[in-house]
Amino acid sequence: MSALLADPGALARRREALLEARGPGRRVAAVCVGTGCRANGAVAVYEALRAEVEERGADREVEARPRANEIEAHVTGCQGFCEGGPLILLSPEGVVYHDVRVEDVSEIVERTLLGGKVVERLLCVDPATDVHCRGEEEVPFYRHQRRLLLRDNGRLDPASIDDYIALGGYSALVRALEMGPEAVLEEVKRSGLRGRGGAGFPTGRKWEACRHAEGDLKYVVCNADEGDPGAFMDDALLEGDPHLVLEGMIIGALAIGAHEGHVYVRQEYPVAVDRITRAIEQAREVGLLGEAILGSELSFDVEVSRGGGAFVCGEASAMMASLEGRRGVPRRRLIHLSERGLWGRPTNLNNVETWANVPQIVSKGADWYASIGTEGSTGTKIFSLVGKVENTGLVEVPMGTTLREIVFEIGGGIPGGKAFKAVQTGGPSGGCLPAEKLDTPVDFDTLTAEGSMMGSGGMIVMDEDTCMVDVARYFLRFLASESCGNCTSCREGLARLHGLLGDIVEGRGTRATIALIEELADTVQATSLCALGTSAVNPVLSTLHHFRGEYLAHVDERRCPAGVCKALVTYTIDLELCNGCHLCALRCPQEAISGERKQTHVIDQELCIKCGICRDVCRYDAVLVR
Amino acid sequence: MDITLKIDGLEVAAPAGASLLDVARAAGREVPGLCHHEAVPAIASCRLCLVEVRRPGQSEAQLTTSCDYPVSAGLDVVTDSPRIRRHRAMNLQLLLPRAPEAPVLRDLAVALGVTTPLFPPVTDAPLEDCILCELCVRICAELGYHALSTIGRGDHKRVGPPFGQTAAMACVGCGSCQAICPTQCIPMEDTATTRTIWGRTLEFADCSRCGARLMTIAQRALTAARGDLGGEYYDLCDACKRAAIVEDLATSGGPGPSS
Amino acid sequence: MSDPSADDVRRVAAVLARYPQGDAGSLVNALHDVQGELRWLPEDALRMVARHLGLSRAQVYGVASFYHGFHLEPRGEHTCTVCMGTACHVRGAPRLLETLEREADVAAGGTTLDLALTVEEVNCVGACAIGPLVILDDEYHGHMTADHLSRLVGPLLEREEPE
Repeated sequence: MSALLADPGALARRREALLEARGPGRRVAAVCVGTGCRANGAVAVYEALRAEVEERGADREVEARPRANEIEAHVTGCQGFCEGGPLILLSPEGVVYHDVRVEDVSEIVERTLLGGKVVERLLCVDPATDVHCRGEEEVPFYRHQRRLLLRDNGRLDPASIDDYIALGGYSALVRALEMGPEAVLEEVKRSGLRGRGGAGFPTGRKWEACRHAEGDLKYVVCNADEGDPGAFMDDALLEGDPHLVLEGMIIGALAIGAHEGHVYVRQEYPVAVDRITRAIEQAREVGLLGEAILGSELSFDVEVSRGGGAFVCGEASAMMASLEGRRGVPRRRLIHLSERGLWGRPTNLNNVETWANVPQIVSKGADWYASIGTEGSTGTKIFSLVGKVENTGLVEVPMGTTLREIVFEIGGGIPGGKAFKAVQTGGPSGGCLPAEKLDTPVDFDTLTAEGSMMGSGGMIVMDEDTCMVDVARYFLRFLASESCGNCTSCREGLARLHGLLGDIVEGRGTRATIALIEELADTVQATSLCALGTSAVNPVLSTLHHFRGEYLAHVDERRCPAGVCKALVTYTIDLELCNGCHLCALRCPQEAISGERKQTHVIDQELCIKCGICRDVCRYDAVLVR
Repeated sequence: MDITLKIDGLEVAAPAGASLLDVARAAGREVPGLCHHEAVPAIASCRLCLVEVRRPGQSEAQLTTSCDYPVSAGLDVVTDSPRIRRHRAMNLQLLLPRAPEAPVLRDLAVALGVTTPLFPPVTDAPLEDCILCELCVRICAELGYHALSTIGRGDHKRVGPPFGQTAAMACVGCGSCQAICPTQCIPMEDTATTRTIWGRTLEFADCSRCGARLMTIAQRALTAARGDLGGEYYDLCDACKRAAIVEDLATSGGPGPSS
Repeated sequence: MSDPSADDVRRVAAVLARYPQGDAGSLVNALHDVQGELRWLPEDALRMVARHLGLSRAQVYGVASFYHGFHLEPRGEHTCTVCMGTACHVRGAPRLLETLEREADVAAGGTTLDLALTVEEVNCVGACAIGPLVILDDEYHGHMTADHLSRLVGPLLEREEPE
């Protein structure tokens, strides 16, 4: 089935043949099965859709290549608008259907795929204008984004190399082969691309160091460990457009002079592992990996490795230890990994999103790329916008877009009319930014200047019901459990910091507790070997800086202003609102609620364990938490 | 190749790439470092061997561990400063809960003026007084026995026989781990004929000539299997080996007891 | 699974045959594949891996115990996982985990004595839009509440009560 692509001409011919076969009458329903939509029942929607398309499609042959006037359905990776899922993107019109259920499928096939008409109720409604939005240019969530990397997530079947080629895939590689390694390296340097994994190191310089390092055997590695809780951008890229990432790696191998590559995917992403593995197999079949790629002198192949379940393996030297079959313990890097990395050889490690940026830099040029974003941070960045926000999902914007635009214009603001409190960027290594900082343009340097960092792109929105002390404690619990355990300062220090914050949230904290936290944090930051330890104190220090009043309420008044910390809040039943339905009493695991039916009920504070079940089941909002 | 660097104002010569901790100590500077031993690779676990290093061309000194810092020409090193003491004291505070009574920690506490522990003692550690320096694991691996494993991670990390066994099945009872342990926390009991360590009781082998205790039978067997000196060599204590060599020279003029 | 069956041994050997002998770098991948066959990593399987890859048992055990993805004890018939990612956390995930741990009477990572249920926590699976999220076996349950969770796992934990 797959013919070997012996040279660029063969690739071009294949693309032409594909485009010709996919005539203007072809209609495609692309169903998002990214994790969010998958969790929301999208697979059932897809299966119903596919069954109906097969039954109703004209001139259908099983496994035949699509012909003009044919309708087709396939799955895609994350299309970004997770809050609106299950999502279907219809081509060629570019109409987006949201909140699709199995019951809607027949109508979609009949009315839209075969009839070319829109099903109004499945369109997103712009909450500001009440207008039904047809396509991505109109849907508020998409309208304000610049989706350079995620654009094709809705347009191709990630299991199809043909879809990728038809959209122009691998033409950047052709261009790169024409340019040669040095010119490609220069282009990436001039583009200003900085690492998207967190540190933001200039990618071109990293490649150059590896290219000039001594040794004939060099490696390129793709970091798909994505351990920041709340971040799933890399998952979306690998699940949705694996060939994009692969093409970036092949171009990088050319520029650096590497012949072997590794993609290290966290084991919690089995779909991503599967998609990138298949993409690699497909690329090998057509000769885009292996010896003499497209007839050039470039030989390169890639292997996929799974992580074992350790956040610390997102750290480059720990990842390499894991690839070498060892425990993921980082090592200090007085000699850069670009000189001595995997197996002691020059290694270039970049994040998934960084690799995904490379093809467009080569095809469209450094000048074009550098015209997007800010001077210090060029290009776009994908953020996972989650938490207390209306439109959770993946957002891709030019660097320099403000937090306000992201959270309010794209994210739709805070649900339930609640007040914005903070946004946490940079994952467990980052910090919280309060409302006063909403007009901060998002780029590497401004976020660092504000005491946070870009990190991998996680953006957690918090509202008035979030306790910032609890947030700091949450991050310390996470990091303490992920510490590799080598350094006293990190292994013991993070556990002690977590304990001290526990004292505060449980009402045992004093001013001295806060002082000790600050002193201990200083040593953890100053004397830990790797970035997990040194940056672990950022959440607690940044919340202490911006929300000190909240900490003081906990220690001076034994009060949690947000109503979160169990030891400092009480669950009571509002006598006015209680209707006596008795449901809470029935569900209370401690049998702590008493009352006659149709009479107001009371919670026995001695027995109450503050599990929250009564608040969950009460239909009258009568359970108060203060 | 020898290079020169400055340590606390003193010009010092050292082989390029040597451990800064070793070099500083050789120059007479007192730098604590509990997880360091020249016989095994450095892992910089305890975080006590802090020094301040300014590299040629840099304006500011960096705080760094010294055990895993290879020396190079022109380094300007300070081994004692308020900053070093402050962070060293805090890392000591973090270790104290694991071994509150260990002499090596108490001595360091006195030297640093640490009088009040900041954190309560750990009570549920599987190996009391272990500060997780991994010297035992490293020396056991270096000697080729691989009887001990570093298990788990974070503050649940522990050292011991793999698979959660109560006895270290690959252990030969050489006692190196017990000797190298900075807090002396590895229980080892010797009788006239046996050694009990890591849940196993191993019998000693005696010198075939004078009956002096040699090593465990298991260790002797493994050492003999690895070596190529053959025969009697592994059955004799050092004194009897020397006597045997002298006898051989006297009688045949040839080589020692192995032939 | 204390004594491996001949079938288990055969399956592990078949998995290991895919990896070159003495290839230490394959350890993590090999452990995943062996676990894929047996659902957990019994001691004998780890010994086979060590032998095949030319590593000490101490090193293999050190690696297997370091990574949370590897299970060194038998797993329950069902696994209930609470996502503890940041987004789910701010939406109340800790209360869900507490509820689950209380109902099952095991801490996260553990399995009930009768091997009915394993309780797990995970840090973000990327379904943040429908958090807080609980995964029961392969089914995702979004917008979870403590009450709903308690009713979901209750039947799995029910034991035959003597009359």
